[in-house]
Amino acid sequence: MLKQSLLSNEKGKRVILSGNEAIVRGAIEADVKFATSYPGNPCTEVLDTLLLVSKELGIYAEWSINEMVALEAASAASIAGLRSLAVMKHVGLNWALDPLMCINLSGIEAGMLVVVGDDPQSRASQNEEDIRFLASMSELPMLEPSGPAEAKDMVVWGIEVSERIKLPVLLRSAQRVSHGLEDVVLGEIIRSNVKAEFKKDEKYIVAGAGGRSVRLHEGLHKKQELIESIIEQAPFNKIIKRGDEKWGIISAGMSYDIAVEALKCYNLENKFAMLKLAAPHPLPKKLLMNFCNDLEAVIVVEDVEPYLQNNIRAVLAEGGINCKVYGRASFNPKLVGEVTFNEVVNLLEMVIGERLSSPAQGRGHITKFRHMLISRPLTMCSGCPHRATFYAMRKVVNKMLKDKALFCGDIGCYSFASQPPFQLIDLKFSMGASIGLACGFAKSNVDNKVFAIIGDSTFFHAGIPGLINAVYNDARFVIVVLDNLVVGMTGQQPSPSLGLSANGSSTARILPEDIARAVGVKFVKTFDPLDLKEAEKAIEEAINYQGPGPAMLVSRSPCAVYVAREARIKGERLPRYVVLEDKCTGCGVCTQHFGCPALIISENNKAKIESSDCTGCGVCAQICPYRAIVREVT
Amino acid sequence: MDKVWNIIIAGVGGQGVVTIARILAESALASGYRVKTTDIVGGAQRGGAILSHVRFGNYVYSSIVPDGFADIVVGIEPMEALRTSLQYLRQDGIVIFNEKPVYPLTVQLKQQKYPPLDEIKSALTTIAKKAFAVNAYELAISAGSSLAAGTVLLGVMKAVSDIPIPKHNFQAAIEGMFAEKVAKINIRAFEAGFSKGLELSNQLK
Repeated sequence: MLKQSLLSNEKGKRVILSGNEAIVRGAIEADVKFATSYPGNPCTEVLDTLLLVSKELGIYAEWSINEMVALEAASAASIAGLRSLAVMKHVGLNWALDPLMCINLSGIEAGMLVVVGDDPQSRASQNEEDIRFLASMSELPMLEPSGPAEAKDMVVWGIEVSERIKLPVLLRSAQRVSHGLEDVVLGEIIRSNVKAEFKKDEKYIVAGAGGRSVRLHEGLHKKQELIESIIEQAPFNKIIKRGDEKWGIISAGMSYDIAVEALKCYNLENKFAMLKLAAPHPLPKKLLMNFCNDLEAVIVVEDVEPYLQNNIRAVLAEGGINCKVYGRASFNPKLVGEVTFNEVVNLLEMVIGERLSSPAQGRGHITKFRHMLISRPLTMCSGCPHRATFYAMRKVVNKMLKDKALFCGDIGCYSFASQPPFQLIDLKFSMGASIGLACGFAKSNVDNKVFAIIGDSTFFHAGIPGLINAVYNDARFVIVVLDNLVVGMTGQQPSPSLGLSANGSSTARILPEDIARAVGVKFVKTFDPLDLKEAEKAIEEAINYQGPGPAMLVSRSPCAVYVAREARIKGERLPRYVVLEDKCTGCGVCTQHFGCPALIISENNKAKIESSDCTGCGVCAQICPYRAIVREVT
Repeated sequence: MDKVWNIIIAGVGGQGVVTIARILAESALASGYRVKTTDIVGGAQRGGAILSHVRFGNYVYSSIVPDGFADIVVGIEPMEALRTSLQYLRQDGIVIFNEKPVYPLTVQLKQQKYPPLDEIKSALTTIAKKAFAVNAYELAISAGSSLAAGTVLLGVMKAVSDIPIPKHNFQAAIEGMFAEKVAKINIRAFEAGFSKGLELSNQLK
């Protein structure tokens, strides 16, 4: 059904699409020819979805090694005349900021859209930040859709605008937009036949010498007037105003819908004029001044920082408009997270000066039953090979180092090792940081044995420079690369160690241990974590390695979810393990020290394996002190 | 009719919450409504709590159901049914939930205790106007796959509520979304849930 919706040429038809899928449909309608991405919530599914139809449509689509490369490759395609799409999460744009701050100077040729998946509330990211600041820093327009339907239309419009201003256009798609579904009206698909061609031009050599980059910077400033006038005319700006309102609401993206919902809910639509902005950057100054001119006060509704509120305040002050600007900074001193319905209601109450009684019902039970709720922390999946690696590491560390060990973690499923029962992460920052941190601790001569724990995809993305730094500067610590062949956390996209490209075709297989040897790491060992004895032995040897340079371990076993899915596709049955009740003493070693979700303690105080969850890794059978867990005989 | 229907699907990562929301969204569109949904995901990983808000009507503003406005909560896991109902369910709302718990890791590690199922049931009976406990897991296995528990609950929902989506639109959505073999399992699961729902509904009368 999804594939049909992406390819259908029935203009005007309504189909259900998620925000991420709608972005793909938009890219198809906009004749995009080249797409790059690195997986990351909330926008992983853009490229996942595009890959369903890219071959048929002749669109080149790749999982790039990181967001910086993704942005560089997409801009090259655009410079060569192919419309392009680069997709990354907010922290990915941090990575890509360096090239972005040159591409904005040189400019591009064919339309180029950078989709930035934002994660206010930081539901699946290391941090929360406000990506809108990077739009004003790079002086590039940033569009913000309120849902999938608008996301699709904004992609088409954004590509056209990009081509007109010869600059990339950014599109902020927050979690709620990317992962929401909506009925979307299909447009027309007209695919052209363009041949890439690079036309030489000095502007592409962004360099300070001779004042060129300063001149280019000046040129970028000069373009701002044109960009602002285009944004003023954007079909996505929306004003609802009769003229007798005292107050107004200004918002963009999905926050606007929440504001409308609150007004409808309290029958306040007639008291507030509404302005929905197409873009948080640049602000349409004339539109804002006209809207606020005869209003006493406006409420700005937005996520995270008071970005719009402060900028609107500045616009009105400069234009001499006497209208108060309320928003997050006025009433929400925390300035974090997504805006909520209740926050909008509080803002409305403050401005109108009366309490609004909630039409919501059934809220009285909360205090009575809240005590029953238990938390549900995230955990590694059943059969996850990382769990086996961590079990072996914990055992060896307890034996050899006790608490004299320091664990630098990284971004991926394995970061859950910070929790019990393993507690094998002491620090975790950003992509690849584990190795740089470990270099620093090792060279600071801390008393602890230092470990860097990093997954395969994160190693390829950002770990290699740190590894070279460790060898070059003789930093002595243990690097553990957990190689499960895929990007596990985002849905098992292929990693370079799998040997398959984004579209499933076979490609060069790149192994972390080969890279380590090539850059001069003297101790390199690969093991299979599902064989605990082998794993423990390798970890012991790595801890005993005295240098020079770091010791590198590669723990290789495919992601359990990937294994289970491949088996399902091929119609194969995975082995299962069962507990022999007469041998199980209920000691709890398997449940409490290993913690695989497939293992539970049943009512009779014996271990039990949920057969539907077991992936047959067999590690629990190795750790049971009573040999009470065995492979099921079929 | 200006009513916006607010339905929340709740469960744990890996239970198919997002898929169930999509079946519901497709069925609502086929029935002539505008639709918006949003996912509130604790994490992409198995083990975290996941919510999908589904709203449909002649026009829907925000995709987020405000607290205390849900007409129906469908819980594929009992604790998540309770958590979601406490925050979102209207006093005259309906909750439909799977009786089979998924224990958080902290329960295995004996850091937290999962309350007895009867206590969750009785809490949900107090919170909701009507609460329907279903052994969706067993019904799904009989239909062909434990993964179809959510589809069983959709069938129950169709039977016990006034949701203005004809049964054949659910079936068409299921057929459109899955490959033939999996679609058949899910159609059976939906039917099993529908029969179970009628049975439970009659018991209430």
